[in-house]
Amino acid sequence: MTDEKRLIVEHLDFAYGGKNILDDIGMTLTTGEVVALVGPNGAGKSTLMRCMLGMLKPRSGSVRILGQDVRTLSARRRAQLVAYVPQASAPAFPMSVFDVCLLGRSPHFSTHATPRDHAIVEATLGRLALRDFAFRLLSELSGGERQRVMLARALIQQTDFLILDEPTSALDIRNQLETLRLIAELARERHMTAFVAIHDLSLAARFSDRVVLLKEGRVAGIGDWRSTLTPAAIREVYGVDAQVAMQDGVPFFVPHEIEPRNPGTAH
Amino acid sequence: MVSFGGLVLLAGYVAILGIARTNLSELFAVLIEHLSFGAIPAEIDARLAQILIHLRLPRVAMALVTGGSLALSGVLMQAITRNPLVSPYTIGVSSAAAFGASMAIMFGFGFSGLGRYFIPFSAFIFALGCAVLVFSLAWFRGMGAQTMVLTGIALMYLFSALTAAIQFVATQEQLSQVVHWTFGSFNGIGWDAVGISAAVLFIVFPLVQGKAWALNALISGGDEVAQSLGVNVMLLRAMSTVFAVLLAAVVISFCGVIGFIGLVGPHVARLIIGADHRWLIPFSVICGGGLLLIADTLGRLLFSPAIIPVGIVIAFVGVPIFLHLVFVRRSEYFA
Amino acid sequence: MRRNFLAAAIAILPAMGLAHPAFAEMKTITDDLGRSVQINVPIKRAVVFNPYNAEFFRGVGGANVIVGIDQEPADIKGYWPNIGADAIAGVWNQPNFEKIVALKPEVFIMPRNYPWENAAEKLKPFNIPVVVVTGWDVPKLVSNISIVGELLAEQKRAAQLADFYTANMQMLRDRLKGVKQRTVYLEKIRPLFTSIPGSGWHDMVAEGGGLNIFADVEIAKQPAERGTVHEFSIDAERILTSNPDVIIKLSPGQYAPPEKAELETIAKSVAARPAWSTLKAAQQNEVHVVSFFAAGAVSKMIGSAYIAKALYPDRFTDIDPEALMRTWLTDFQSLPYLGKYSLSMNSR
Repeated sequence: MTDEKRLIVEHLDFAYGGKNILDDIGMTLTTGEVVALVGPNGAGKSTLMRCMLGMLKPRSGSVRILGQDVRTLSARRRAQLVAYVPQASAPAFPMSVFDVCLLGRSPHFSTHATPRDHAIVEATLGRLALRDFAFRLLSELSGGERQRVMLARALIQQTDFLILDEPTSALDIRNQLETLRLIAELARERHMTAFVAIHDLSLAARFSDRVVLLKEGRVAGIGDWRSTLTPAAIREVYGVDAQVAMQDGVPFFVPHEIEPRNPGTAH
Repeated sequence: MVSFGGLVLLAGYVAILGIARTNLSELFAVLIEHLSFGAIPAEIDARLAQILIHLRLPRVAMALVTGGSLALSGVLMQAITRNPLVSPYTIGVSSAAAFGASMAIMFGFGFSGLGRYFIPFSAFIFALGCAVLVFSLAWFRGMGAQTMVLTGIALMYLFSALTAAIQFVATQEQLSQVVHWTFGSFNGIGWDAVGISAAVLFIVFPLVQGKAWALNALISGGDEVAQSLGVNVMLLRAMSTVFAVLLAAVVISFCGVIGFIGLVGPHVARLIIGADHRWLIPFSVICGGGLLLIADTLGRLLFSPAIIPVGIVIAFVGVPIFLHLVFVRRSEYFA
Repeated sequence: MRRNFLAAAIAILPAMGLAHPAFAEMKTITDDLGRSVQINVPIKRAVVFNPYNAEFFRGVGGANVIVGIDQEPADIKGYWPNIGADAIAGVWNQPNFEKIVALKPEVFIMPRNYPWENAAEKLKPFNIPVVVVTGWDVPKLVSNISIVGELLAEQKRAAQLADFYTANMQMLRDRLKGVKQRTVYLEKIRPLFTSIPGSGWHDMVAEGGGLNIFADVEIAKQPAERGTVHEFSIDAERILTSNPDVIIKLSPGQYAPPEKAELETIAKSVAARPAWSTLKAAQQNEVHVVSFFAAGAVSKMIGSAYIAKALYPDRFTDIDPEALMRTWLTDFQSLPYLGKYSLSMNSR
């Protein structure tokens, strides 16, 4: 059973307008692990996530969930298996937090939410300390609060796989820590796989089981953070010299001063 | 449910108001007689019964169906574009429908025979064409919300100008028919128009209601969130566009252009009941129908026997209600 | 379908208690569109839409038959003293059907450019037939008057009314034969608006023997914002270059004639417009003001007579347009003539 509970990306190529965005991506996500996706802006992180969700059609290669190609799954079935939180999403019209969260149950019921669905929403809101916001409108919340509601909505979907595109970008440091710890806890508890794009290398190293390092559409490294986020790899991928350090068992990255990007135009 | 009951009571009440005096029990008796196909005869003046059946009730029914259809059309358009400024009127669909009707009139289709159905058909084709043009420009060229509304307004002016140009070369006989389409009125509405419009509303309504969750997903998170929640966004958009245009074009083709209700009806409903489509869809139909019915009744009674066209009265009725809700109810609505 | 219905309607008419006098006679009336309408004549109650149609009814002796009119004739103050505000049955394209039914007419009269098909359908259940009479259609004036005559069983009076129009128009044509045409600028109530070919007002100038200085304007080649054939916005310079012999100015008009001082003010203000003092018409006092109401009366026959007299007074020494207006009002509309509707600057 556990063998089947995997998300496998094989030889994935994606091009847009003749330009290669993803080039021969391959990886396997297994049950209960948190995988951090790191890489510079424009490396193709969001595109990779959309391909994994079946929203984009790859030029070649495949994404398989539980042994089935993600593009052949029905939209509803896919939503029962994978939940997704994009980088930014603003509500067009004011919906209450509770109603937005209840949407997470919509792939599971036919027309009406059951009392069980309501109970799941309440429990998750409690776990994310969002219970007080339940009947506020999403439009009234701050960016950080809204980001946590969107995460709650995805968790409420109760899927085997969770794909999160920078879920902590609008959060303060306390909320960053709390949110990522919660994701890690839930991954273990529910045997859920979380694939999280994240810019902060320190947080990526601290909360993930494995790291996927992406550079210009290719996998530049995959595995434990100690083997992927080496100073050499960081220089190679980001063009930045960085020091990796540990304090009280917590890794952190200190970037050095950088060279101007285009020396020719600097002066 | 309560609001629906309220709407039925409102409809019953306004149906007894008018030049020929009557009361609820007489109205009820007439309804019973017709619903039982004459098996239970109504013991009231035959002329009064005729007035109720042929003049008063089709008008009341058409106001309800038109208001409901236009408001629902607005809800759909606003949801799939995630844009509160979109309505059948602001994206040019209404003007396109009026132009389509004018073209049919100019090519010699009258009110009699099959021509009476060709005019609405032509109105529908132009309305659909306009909507497809605006929406496809928006999606395939990746336009923002404002650009889309601007395109719609530009088309609205284009079609209005074309209709005006047609009036210029129209004969006296054609002119009077063209004028009929350019401003909304329920005068002279018959049961056939009510029947067709109501059939469209009753068929479309449950299909739209079934998409309430999908629409909620779209408005609260956008395309990607909706897709991740199992919504086929392309299909939802295509379906909603056809339904929205169908709802709007059918009633516009019978009643002419009624601008206000499709834009503000959804907002009034949303301000009262919230943006959740499970409730918003039925309530916008009730709200739109009720608003238009009140407007038409006022237009009918205020300066009786002169009848003020509903397209004019609705602004007088709707704007104060809308402003009241904006200022009093939820200041965070437009945050 | 319609025929079956008519047969049924005819069958139940007596049963519905719409009793008619013994001399009432079922007749088939052919209306302006060639539709056949079966109806008992003479009719006793009619709702009549359009001012020209209402005037025809009154002119053919049906003043008491009109039980309802539309807003347009009702807006002419004092012109319909027997018709109260409660007898107004809507505006031309928005007939108030409940009101029409409440007025219990035997027939509903509408011109062919009004929504008569819709009206016929809505009034069908009430056995109120629609008869199309198009009073504004001058070329078909005689036939439309005769339809009214048949409905009222007043053929003789209908002939008199038709004759009043045709005889006077013929008189104008006879006397204008071979005349050297003088040029005319016809100004509507709004300054610098005129009427061009395709409008009744342009025809009125032609029937009066004048040459409209804007006769060459083709509406199809004009931008829409310049208006319609009836109300056409002109280029003021054209007046100066055309230098018309005569200026005819329409003044706002009701049944009650305008004060003489008001007409004088209008005439003077036209002549005194900047640069217009150099015009022939202004220098020779050829500015004539006539009330819109009078100029349009009897399908603009009065207006034509007025223009003819203004242009060629020597040919019409024995003709007074005001006398024609008096005849129209007193003999055909049963209303008193209240005073002059026109003023010529050269006749003071």
